Amino acid sequence: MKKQMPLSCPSCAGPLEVKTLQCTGCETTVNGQFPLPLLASLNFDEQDFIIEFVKSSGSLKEMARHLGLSYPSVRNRLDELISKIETIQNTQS
Amino acid sequence: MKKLLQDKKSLWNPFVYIAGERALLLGLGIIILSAFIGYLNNAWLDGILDLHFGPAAPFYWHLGMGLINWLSVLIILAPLAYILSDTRIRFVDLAGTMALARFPMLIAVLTGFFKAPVRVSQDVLYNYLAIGEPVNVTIFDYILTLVLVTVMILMIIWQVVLLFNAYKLCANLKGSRAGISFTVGFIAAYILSKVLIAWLARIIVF
Repeated sequence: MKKQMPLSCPSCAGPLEVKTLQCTGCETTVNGQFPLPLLASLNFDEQDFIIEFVKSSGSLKEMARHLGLSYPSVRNRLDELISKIETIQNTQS
Repeated sequence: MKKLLQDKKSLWNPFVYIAGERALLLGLGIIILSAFIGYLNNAWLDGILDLHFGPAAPFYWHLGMGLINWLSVLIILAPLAYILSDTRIRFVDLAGTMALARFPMLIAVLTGFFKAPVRVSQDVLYNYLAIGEPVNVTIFDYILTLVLVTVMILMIIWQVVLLFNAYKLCANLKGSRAGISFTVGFIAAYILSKVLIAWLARIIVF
């Protein structure tokens, strides 16, 4: 099962940041305060959508064919994603 | 197409899976086929929400009514979509999905092959308004008419829901903005369809 990284605090719903990173090879741990990259603030479906968009060279028509959806459905999902990214950017700035 | 057939919600909103040129071709096929069936069984689609049994008429009259019903909706709702929407709209999506939304009327027009509703209406006219001549009507005719009228009403409702979903999806409108603009536009489109069909009736002599 693919685990979804928590994006907001379960206690106060505030934004989360990365505090610890660990090397998968030697298990060296790095501590600090790293803000989440914008793309990591999106859920898996939204990240997959962006990957599909890039792989289709930004062609919504191509993407619609690949996903088996109609062009307006794909375009509406893109509109929703743009709106969500703008909200995240406004929150972060 | 596989996803379209598997998803039960497609009954109300197939446009999640099909729009654009493919929907337009299918929709035009549905309009032409409905006109041909109407030509065969004298079922007149003389308005977006109308299905009446009329006298025999040429095929082009039925085709004209079918095209007017589709274009009336498109002429009114397309500008509304462009005005109210914040997104980029493709005209072919609006044209295609609104043509495809006529599918329920293809089923509705098939009811014209049953002559019971005509006999029942003749019976009602004779008994209650003393118009016409007496006709031999059985209880079966009344039951069948009730079933067919129910089917027609359900098909008309289905068509309106499909049109609303087509408009909402293509223009990416939500909530009251979608609901109010569609209701106003649809009423205007219905009136336009009746006016244009009345005008067509004047120029076509049959």
